[in-house]
Amino acid sequence: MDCVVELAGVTAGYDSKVAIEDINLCIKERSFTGIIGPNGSGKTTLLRVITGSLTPFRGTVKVFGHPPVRVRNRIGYVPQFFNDDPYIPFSAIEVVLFGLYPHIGMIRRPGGKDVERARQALDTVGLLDKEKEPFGHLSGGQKRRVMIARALAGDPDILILDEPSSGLDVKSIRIILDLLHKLNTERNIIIILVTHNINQIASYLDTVVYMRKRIYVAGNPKEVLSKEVLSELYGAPVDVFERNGNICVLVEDSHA
Amino acid sequence: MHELLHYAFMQKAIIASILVGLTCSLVGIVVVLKGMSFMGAGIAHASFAGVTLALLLGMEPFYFSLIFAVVVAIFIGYIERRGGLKIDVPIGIMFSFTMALAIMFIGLMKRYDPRVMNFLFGSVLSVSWKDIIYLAINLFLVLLFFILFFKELKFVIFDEELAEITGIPAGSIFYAFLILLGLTISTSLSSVGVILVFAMIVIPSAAAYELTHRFSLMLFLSITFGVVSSLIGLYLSYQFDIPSGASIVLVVSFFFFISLLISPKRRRLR
Repeated sequence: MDCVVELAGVTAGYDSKVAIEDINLCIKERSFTGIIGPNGSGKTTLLRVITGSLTPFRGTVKVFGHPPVRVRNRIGYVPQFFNDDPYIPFSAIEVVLFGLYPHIGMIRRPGGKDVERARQALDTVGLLDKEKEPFGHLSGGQKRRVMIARALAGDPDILILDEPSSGLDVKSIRIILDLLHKLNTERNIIIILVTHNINQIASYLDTVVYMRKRIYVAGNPKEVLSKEVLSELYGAPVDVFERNGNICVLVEDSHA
Repeated sequence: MHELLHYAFMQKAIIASILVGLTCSLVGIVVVLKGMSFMGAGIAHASFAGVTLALLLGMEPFYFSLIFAVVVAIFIGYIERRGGLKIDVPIGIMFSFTMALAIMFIGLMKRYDPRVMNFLFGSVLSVSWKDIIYLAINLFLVLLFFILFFKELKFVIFDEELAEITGIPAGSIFYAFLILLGLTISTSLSSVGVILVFAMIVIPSAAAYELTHRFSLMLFLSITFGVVSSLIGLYLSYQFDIPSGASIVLVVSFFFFISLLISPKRRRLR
């Protein structure tokens, strides 16, 4: 199968500081890919390169065979952080409509069809009843779902999420991961997300990429998330076990 | 009130007040929502340095103030977008640097020019038709910008980086706005002055922000506060013989405190 997202020899960073080095990566159709690694390992930089918001120092990035900026309307992006002003004067539906602006084009105003598309996207994330609610009034989990709806409104083929579980409680994380799973299996949307929390996400993934500035290992979760591989990567004893079909990773306490 | 309208200077002052109130409160929406309130103060002081240089050289103050304002606005914007330094650092540096320049230029004048005080504190009662034409052109440009890029501007206010990733030319819109902000400050200096133009940009929008969760209503309220307080302030200035810039800003501040008091957003905190 061809690569939908293809990175070859990519080195990127900020000013002269290298954040990711010599990355070779192939993400295929219908995949659900989790990029994992410790803080500061370059996960977000990798996403910025894939979305085209950061130009690499070296190497090539292709999305659907083109440079990412040429296919921006096929990529939906959900950032880790977004406007946290509790009184920002935008409603949930207005935030979702932002995702349609590049499709509407400059100068033109959103019409009835655009509003309907935004409502459908809100319905997909289960928040249609909150469409008129000020964005700042929503809970953390609801805001994240509105941001996913914003990314979905443009009908993307790839959905890229930066730390979608960050700052959320267990129930909210479950709702978001179930939603992503549904989008992946029912709408064939390619999901790429980064996280440093393996346990919450492992059972949803079909591909795991472990990075620490470089890609150390990539493949099926059962291969990558093994006791041997992770112990070597973390440099500490790591236990991996399965419970009710879910993979659990436990870094053993050095004082135990 | 009716007799006031017979005086030519008052007619000009009313027109100038409306134009300043409208334009400053419009650009103020973006300034307040993007959390760059002190940028107005920084640019105003840069603009003043331009004015004093022009007066020193015996040239037209407007063009010099415009150049200084726009260059400093773009410089601060560039530092903000580049990341690294927090925005208050370049604003603080440019604030002091341009004020030092202004003081130096005033010191170099062979004879003190009384217009320095006019630009510092504003004098809406002595605006000329040329000032009004500049204000009108500025308002036209600001309105055009808001009409053409209304939806893009909202997205940039919400999240500039996300807007850029989504395909909106957020950088160009941001810099275009900064140029308009510089233009607004330069054209408003003769009416409200360096010290108070910052207040006219921030306070009407801040008062409107307290009262609504809707962007379009915030826009309407901000413009209303800006224009109404300009007119009431002007009337009070004439009636009680007090400086016009100060009375306009006192009135708009009064609106702000009332908004704060009745704000539905603060009700949960009380």
